[in-house]
Amino acid sequence: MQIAVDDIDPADGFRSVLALRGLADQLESELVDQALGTGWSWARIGEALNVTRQAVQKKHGRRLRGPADRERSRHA
Amino acid sequence: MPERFARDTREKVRRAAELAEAENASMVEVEHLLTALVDPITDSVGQHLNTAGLSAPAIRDARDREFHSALALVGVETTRPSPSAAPRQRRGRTTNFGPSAKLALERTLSIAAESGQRRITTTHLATAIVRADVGIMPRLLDELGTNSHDLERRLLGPQ
Repeated sequence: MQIAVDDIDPADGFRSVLALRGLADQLESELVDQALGTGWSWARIGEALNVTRQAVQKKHGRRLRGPADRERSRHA
Repeated sequence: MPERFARDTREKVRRAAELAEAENASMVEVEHLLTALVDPITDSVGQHLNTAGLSAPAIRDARDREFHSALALVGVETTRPSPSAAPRQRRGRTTNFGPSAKLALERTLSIAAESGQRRITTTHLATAIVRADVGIMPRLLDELGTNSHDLERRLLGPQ
């Protein structure tokens, strides 16, 4: 779908941007959980998301912190 | 200048932080402040808002509809509920106030100052929340079947 920005009121357009960010963050969190659960390393998740391992771990590590995750991050 | 937040007003702000925390939001946003005014209803401000159709479940549903409409505008369709900002990073229990909540609190101070009252009341807070003219609030109120003018009229009574 082509989005003609000229046809969108900025106030509505910015709501769309916020909602897209929220949706992307929500999907990313769920997929990171799922990937870690099936044995992905932080490094591989970082590569898949085109960010560094450190960046993805900083963003999601604390949320997921638990013994298994700490163990995994040591070996990432 | 108003001197301080009335106890009721402070309690509403604290309740907003509790609501944000309960849904694992990373920050307290203006929608949490709005919800805190009617969950629970403790004063006439809560009653006025509730009479206008605002309740915790109604706001939650309206947030989902606002989310879906914002995505539909750019051709994205989902049945997922509205996410609670970014996933919370668990470090202590501190819940930060996001920009939308900070701006609403700043407006609360101005509105209280304009009123000439010494205490910052829940009426000042509610007025400041509904007066947001960008962000999700105008559409959220629309989804709730109301708008800032209607709510201000109910909150302030005939002037």
